[in-house]
Amino acid sequence: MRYDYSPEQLAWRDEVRAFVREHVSEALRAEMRQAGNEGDGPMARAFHDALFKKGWWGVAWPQEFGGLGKNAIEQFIFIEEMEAAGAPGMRLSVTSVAPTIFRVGTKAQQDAWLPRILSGEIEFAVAYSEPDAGTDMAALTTRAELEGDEWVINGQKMWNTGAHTATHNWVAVRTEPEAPKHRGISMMIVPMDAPGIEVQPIWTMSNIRTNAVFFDNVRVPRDFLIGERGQGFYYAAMALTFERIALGSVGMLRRLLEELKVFVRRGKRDGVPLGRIPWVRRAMADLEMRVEVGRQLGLLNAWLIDQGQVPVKEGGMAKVFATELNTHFASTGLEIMGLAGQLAPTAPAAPLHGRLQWLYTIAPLQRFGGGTNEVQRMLVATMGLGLPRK
Amino acid sequence: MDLAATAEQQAVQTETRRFLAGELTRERLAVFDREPAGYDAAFWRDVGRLGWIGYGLPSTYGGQDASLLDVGLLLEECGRAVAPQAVFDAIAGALALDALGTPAQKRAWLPGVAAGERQVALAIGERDAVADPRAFATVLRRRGTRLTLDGAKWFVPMAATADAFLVLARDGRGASAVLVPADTAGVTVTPVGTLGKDRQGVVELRNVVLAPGAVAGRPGSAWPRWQRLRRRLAALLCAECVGGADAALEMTVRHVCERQQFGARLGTFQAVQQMAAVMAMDLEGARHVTRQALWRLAEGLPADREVAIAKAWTARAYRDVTVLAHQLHGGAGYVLEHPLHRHSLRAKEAELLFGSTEEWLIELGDGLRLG
Repeated sequence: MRYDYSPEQLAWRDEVRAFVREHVSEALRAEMRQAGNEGDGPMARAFHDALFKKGWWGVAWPQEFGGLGKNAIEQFIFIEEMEAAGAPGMRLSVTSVAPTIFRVGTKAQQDAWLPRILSGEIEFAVAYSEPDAGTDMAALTTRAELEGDEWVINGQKMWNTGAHTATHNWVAVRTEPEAPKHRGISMMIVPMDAPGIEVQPIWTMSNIRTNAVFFDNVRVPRDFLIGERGQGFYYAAMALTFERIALGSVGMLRRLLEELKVFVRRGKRDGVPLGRIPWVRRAMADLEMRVEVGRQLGLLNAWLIDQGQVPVKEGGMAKVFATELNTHFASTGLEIMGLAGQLAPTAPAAPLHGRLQWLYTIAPLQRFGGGTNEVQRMLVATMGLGLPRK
Repeated sequence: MDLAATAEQQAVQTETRRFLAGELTRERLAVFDREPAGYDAAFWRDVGRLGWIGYGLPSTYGGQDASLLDVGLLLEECGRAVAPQAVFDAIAGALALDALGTPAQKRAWLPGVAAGERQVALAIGERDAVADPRAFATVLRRRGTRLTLDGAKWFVPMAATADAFLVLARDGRGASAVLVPADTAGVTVTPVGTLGKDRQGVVELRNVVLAPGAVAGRPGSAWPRWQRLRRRLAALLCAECVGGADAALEMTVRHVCERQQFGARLGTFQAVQQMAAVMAMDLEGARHVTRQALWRLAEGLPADREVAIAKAWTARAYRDVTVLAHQLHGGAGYVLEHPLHRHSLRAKEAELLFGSTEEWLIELGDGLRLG
């Protein structure tokens, strides 16, 4: 056993750390706080360009597709350092769409799409959900029908975040209406400039813009269906397991915890240093403990992936723990700030630039998104512990 | 990162698990319950033969030089089987004498301890003091060359069976560790019942005249050394909790996969599934913060933070797991015949030992340099 990174892993961590230290400026962080969508401003894009030039766009991709071929622990380190520095998050094109294409796409599809994703030329939004198909994704009704050499798509997608800026959409559509609902879905690439697409903004509680997207006889070439017909549900489930390394990371909380410590060390209330108030010290210790527990669950998940396992149980636990901790962390942190916890992020006096308020508002999304926590716990119980489904 | 046990560690765990599963049947545990020692003579002979007590001791004293992490992995198995707490207590006493004792004391005692022939019990806590030696009522006094000990130690493990007590006594402004054979004149032992059903007692010390060489180490200097040792023992106790929580979850899973109500197995109900998942999450976190702490201690790395996290999280997790286990077992787990109660009682007791959950959170907070 070794509960620490190996010298090679430490060298990789230092390399990533040096990169983010150089490229994540206070101005970039300020832009990310202001931009409605996290990491969608010009400086965030410049950061992604730098990441691309460094050759770190496809950290997790196999080398044959132009990636670094890093294993799960190394990906975990990468994500943790990026989050710890407050860098813009990786794009779903890179973490979710591309890995699906190089796993299930034909050679022609890989050649057609992967270089363009890797170069940053195209960028995907991801469209799984619909008004009546959220957690129950297999209930989706957006349909694609083959007419000659083209698919004709009709229907509506929800929570299609990034659809207004992306060049392409990664859309789950029903292609086999006669098949059982899980086996009738396919994944399709839809260029956002195709005629018949309408994007309507939806503004959320965290000020992140998402979209409702309408498809009215939208036509795409036949080979824009990626992989096999009818396998889309399973591809989407597979992609979610790639994302869980990131979803289960507490890198951001580690950064916020350090910032909160600085706030506590400097702050006073009624003449008493915050750091001398017993309940504040106790609450900070509790956060320190929980963040460490979350980190261990994330590491466990990544380590098991590197052992060749598909850790549904540990991945689910890491996701549930980290996302529930976000709520607890934000709530506790705001309480430590006292009345100042109310100050809007735009108020110059807002502690931690209002990041805990932002965390508090984004935390619900993380708990129900990416596979709602109740479903995750159900998977932990059934697939992990072996409880019966019926 | 490498979270896998070595082949040797796995072999020890497998062998220990198999042995304990074979020995500690319900009937045998019921026999142990009636024994003053908490186990029978045959069991303790096996413990000695298997070398558990000396596992982490230096080979110069009859031990096997196992690391603290190795000892923790052994104790995970003891926790899983709710083996008599004396195994942990005897290991703790052995490691304590190794850490605090003089070379002469170690030579005289540790080989017998390692073989399971003798027991050294730690005597730290008092009725009204545990974490500040200035509050100890147990005092070491010097009159010329004559050393005497007066006071009373409570919560002394293996009280009725120990051959010697390693007593922490107030000594001037500090504390001294003193090794007191149980048969020394002036020593009286009174067993006390506890929640966890281990075999604690009160050790009264009335004008106990100490043999030359009874004081371990420089007089008055024991407290910082005890604090370092306490961290190691707390981490080991966490390992026992991890094994216990693992067992409590496992028996719960088995129960809800079999038990039928409303025409369906309990495990099919979503409420039950959600609870089982929460138990698993508590446990996995506990397993790895504990092993991390033990690994760092074994490697000689700074570990104050990791030990505090392990103890604050793990004993509470064990307790929470047993609370949910009871809820999911219903009446089946409430009867004495079922082993679950052993876990739930021991879990709460573990929260109190070597610093409580809240006390470790305070220590953790102290280490954050908040002001």
